[in-house]
Amino acid sequence: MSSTTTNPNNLSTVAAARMANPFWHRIRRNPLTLFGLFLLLLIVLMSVFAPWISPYDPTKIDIAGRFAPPSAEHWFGTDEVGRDIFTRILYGARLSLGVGVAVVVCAGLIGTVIGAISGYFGGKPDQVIMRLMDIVLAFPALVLAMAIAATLGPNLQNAMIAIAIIKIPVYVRLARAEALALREKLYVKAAVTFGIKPWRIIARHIVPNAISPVIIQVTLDIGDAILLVATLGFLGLGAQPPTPEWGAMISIGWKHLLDYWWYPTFPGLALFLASCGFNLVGDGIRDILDPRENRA
Amino acid sequence: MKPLLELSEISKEYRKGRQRFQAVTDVSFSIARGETFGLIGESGSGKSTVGKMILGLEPPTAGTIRYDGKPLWNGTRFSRLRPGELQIVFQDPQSSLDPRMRVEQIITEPLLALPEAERREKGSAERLRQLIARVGLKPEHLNRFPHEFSGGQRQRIAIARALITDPSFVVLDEPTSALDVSVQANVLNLLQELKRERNLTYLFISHNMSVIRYMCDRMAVMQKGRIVETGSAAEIFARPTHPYTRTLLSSLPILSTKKVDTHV
Amino acid sequence: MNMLLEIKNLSVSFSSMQEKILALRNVSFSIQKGEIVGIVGESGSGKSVTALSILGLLEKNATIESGSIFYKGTDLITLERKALQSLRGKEIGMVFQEPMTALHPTMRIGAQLAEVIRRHRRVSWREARRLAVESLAEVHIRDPELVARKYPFELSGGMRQRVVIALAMSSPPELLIADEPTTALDVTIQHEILKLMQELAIRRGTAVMLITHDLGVVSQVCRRVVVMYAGEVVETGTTDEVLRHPRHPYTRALIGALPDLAEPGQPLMAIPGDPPDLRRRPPGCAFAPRCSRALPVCFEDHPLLELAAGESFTHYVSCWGGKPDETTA
Repeated sequence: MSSTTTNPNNLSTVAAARMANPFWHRIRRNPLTLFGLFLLLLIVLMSVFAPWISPYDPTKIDIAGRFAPPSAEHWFGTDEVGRDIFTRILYGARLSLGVGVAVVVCAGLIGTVIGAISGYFGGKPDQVIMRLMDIVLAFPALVLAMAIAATLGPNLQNAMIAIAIIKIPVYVRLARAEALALREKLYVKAAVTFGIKPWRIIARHIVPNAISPVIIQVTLDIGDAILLVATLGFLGLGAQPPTPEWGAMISIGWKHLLDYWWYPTFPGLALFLASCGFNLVGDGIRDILDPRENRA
Repeated sequence: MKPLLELSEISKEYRKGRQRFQAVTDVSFSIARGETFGLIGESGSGKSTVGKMILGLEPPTAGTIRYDGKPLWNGTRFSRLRPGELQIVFQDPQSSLDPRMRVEQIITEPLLALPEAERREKGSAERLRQLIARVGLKPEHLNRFPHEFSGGQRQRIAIARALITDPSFVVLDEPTSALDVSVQANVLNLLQELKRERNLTYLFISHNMSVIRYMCDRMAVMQKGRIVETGSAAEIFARPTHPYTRTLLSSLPILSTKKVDTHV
Repeated sequence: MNMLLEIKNLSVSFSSMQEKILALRNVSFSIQKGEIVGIVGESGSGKSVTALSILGLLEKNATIESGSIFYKGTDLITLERKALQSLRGKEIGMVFQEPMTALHPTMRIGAQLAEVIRRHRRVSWREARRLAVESLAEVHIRDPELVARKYPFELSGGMRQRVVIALAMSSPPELLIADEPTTALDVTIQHEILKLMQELAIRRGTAVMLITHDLGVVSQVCRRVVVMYAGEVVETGTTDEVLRHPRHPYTRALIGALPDLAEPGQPLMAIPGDPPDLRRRPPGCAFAPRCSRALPVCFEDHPLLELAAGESFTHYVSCWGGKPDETTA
């Protein structure tokens, strides 16, 4: 066995100099990520303070004032039954954000656990699970989500289940890859020699150390999940009226694009910005975390 | 006197599809209670594989390993002795401490394998405090993470972890190979003291001959999976019989100065 | 003039977001033509930084605060990049610890050697390939033609290091800087590689700056040795005098810490305290906090590198020379 470097001291000159820059400093240097963060902040604020920002009730119907163009009273105009679109976008933010986060976090947790177990034990069960994941991944995401949502019945809960199902395989793969590498680590082997049971080893050592790539993936996936919920909503498979959901709004609104442009435009814009925000932040986090992983 | 650890014609063959690799062939030796036994070899000698088999990480493909008379392996099943009886200290920077765990959790981890009553007794705050003081760490270190420590300190953490269950037998796998010479001296001194105080038996695996000569009572030389020479360390270093042992010893860059002045 | 390399009062610092770390402080030593000098130190000693400074390979956040590196009379620090680059490789060769990082992984050995040879001499490809095989033979590689056709990953660690040495010696250089060249190799191979370097150096008249943490290596091949601690030179002289009569407490402690010379059962000489924290340099001697013979002046004033008392004209030490201590154990 060969001996490794002679600089185990964590204060060796070169390493000390390469001490990682503080997290915020790195973010500040990347304007896109900053912009993404700003967008996210906007959306979060919108959804949290919705009742205070707008005086309107998102479901209150006012047939007389329907299809009103943007004005001082209705910043984004009104829809086909006179509901204030701006208000509906605010409440829609709550829904999209809530759904996106809930779905992805669930998928992430379930996927990570399955992947960690599968990777750690290996062997036949691992092969079976991976082939199962391959099957799910073989389908185009949207098509499969549609199929599941349609089978279960068109409502928001089922849409969430459908999206969670199609998201899980990615996490299983991620966690499994990490688990395969981690089980060779000396601290894991040490734990085996102590006599610690496998499930404990997975919980204490594998999952916590596999979390990094999962977190990055989660941020990216939230943006994707928001889009998917909206798409399913657009197709009538997600949130049902009168729930204010961006996709459902666009679904009705797009027919009126030429006459009442504001109707589909603003929800569409909201959707775009939300998903953009998550993607930019996810990219930014990945860039920041990656070089650190190559620390010598 | 019955030996504490006994290996009889141990072999290990690795198979990957059609390919076969014989890592260890017909290795036999025994270690008496209270001894420090050295296993020396270069890369590819199989010494680490022998260590893995003793610890339960890899099943031998042939032969038996007995601890205190009882076989450790039953086919591919490892029948763990009293948990915590046999412990390990690995070569440091190579990931032997979980970077995400605090030092206290790291040191007390082996206790998790013990039965409830024993765990509570051995895991008392007082015992922990005494243990870390003994290995040269401070109470405030318990709350920190491994990366905040130097190589020598991390190795002390690993030693504390190995001792928390009151083992009788400790396997030391290249414990100082990645440390500076002065730090190595500290760690080796500590290991010697601990051995005397706690009546330990050591299996010291290393490629570093000067360390083996200094630390070990008896030793075995391994080459390409086989033992080529066994005997007392003093004897082997003074009168090596096997050609490989001779080559090993002759390439040792021993300080050619016989009488080095380290005093005034 | 026999002086090949002369480093005078070199100080180098590294800056990060939070602070500036002085990695080298007033380092001075020299290497004559054809001599093999060992630079010995542990972590934080600055030995690798010294090598990188000479080669101009310091990281971007490094600053040369003061001092000069005279190579054949020219200060390398003032040299511009292109000039330094051509000096590197042609006159100054390098061998590092990990041979795999010095070799092109997808290029055959013979081709790599030939390429380097052609860069230094005006020869045809065919001639270069022939010379490549010759240089492989010179580093005692059996079947050099066969090896020339192989890729680096097909060779063992020892063989790769031989190839790297062949590459470094191909010009041939006046100075070879080797940073822990044998640390990653098996003990039996280490011995051969060192002997090889020694042999080539003598044959070609190449001076060698051998950086290592291993005093045994130094005693085997180096004529002179420079002992470094916390980025400073604490002692230097011929290997014989420094190892037999070490004057600096650190050198003594380093030798005493070696299991090579210790009696089994006797505790090794351990240096109390912690390895140096380069971020917090004491005003006086860097070793004072851990020195069993430290005087008050040691903590306040930095000792100079001066000739040690005695008859030698080559033995220098940087120490206020504390009182003899009865319990130096």
